[in-house]
Amino acid sequence: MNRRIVIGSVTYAQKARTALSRRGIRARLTKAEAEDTQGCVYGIDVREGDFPAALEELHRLGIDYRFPPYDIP
Amino acid sequence: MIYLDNAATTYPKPPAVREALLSSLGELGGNPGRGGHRLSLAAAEAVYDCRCAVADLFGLREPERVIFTAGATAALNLAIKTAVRPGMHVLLSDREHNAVARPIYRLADEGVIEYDIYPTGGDVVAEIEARLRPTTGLVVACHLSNVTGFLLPIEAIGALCRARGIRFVIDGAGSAGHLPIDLGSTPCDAFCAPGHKGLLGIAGVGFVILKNDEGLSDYMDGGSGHSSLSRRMPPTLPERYEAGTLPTPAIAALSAGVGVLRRRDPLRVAAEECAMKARLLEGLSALSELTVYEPENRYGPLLFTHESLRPEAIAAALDRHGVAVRAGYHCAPLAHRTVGTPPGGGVRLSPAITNRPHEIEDFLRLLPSALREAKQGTGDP
Repeated sequence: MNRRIVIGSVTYAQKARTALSRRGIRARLTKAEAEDTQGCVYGIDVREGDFPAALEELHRLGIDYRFPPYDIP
Repeated sequence: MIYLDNAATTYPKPPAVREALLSSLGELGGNPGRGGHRLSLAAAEAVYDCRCAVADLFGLREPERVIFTAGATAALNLAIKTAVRPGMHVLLSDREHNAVARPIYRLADEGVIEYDIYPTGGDVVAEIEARLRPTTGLVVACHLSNVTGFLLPIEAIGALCRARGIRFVIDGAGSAGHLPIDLGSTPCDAFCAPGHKGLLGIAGVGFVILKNDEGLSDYMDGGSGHSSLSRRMPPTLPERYEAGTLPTPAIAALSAGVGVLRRRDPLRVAAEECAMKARLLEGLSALSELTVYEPENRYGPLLFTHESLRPEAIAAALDRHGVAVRAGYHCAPLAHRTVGTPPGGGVRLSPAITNRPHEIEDFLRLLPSALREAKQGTGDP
């Protein structure tokens, strides 16, 4: 099972993906579902097991993120 | 063809650049940062790779601060027009290209700003300091003159601006790719460059590196690929200043050009170009009817005039011999006035690493014949 992390801009999603990759966390760039408040957004998918470490890294980098209203199978 | 007009655009492009351009048309066909399908994502990856490559070449760790534009002119317009405020006083050097001077002239003509031009012949920092006003909010400097290769002391100017809380914009059109530049240690707020000159890409893309975007106004509005429901451009870089579709093929070519430079080593590139300029200078010095302007400048282009021939007549004669040079004012009348060229400007030679040493020798052999023909007025009308 994967978990999706919504970032917003494609550039920041790519920056997040690259940073996670340096920590050995595989993340895949994806276009995420539009949210009512934002419209189109980009995000990354990570494995369920990597999810806590991924969020920790994004916090460390100061990259804002949100979550979609569902999990990605 | 002996191409010595690399300050206008480098030619020929390295094979890696041509290959990247052609393959982008087949493999990167989607709109970057717009869709979620593989072609769009592949294009977005190519754009991000280029941001990282450019940031790395200039010693920065934040690729999102690389804002792609249509070229250096668009980058300078962005850097200047987002920084100025009504009543602001702006300083520009007496070496600036029209890409800097004209936006400032227009803003002044419209009554938005006031400006002064600081001379570069002596202590540049002292000259700037002497012209500062309480309302001075922006200083612009070309790093390396596109006319004679004159280098402005950007570190010292940047230090002064930082100490006074004044925004500092560098026009790197003449230096990017020709000199090693570490923006990480250079105090500046914005650095603008084209993709198609020293960085060996193609026309259609340039960039501004916004080291500091605090207090800048919005610029162009349009699609940004995310936050579509907002009435405004998103606040984050780079998308805030990248309305509309980016030119993926030109960006892919720029990536390849930067890759060529990094593999070749920017220090070595500068040394090779410096050696070519030195050889040109040596050859021209043997011709007593020529005047070379600021021969002490080691890098960048070389400018000369003839005691009786118009620059355009020399350029036309050289073209008949298969040599491409650029005559005239080089879109930099301020710089020509500063160095004192006569009416008609001068003839500019701008070698680059795309030249081979034998081409410089061939040019020096051809030049006396071209000058003789120009004097005789030979050649088709």
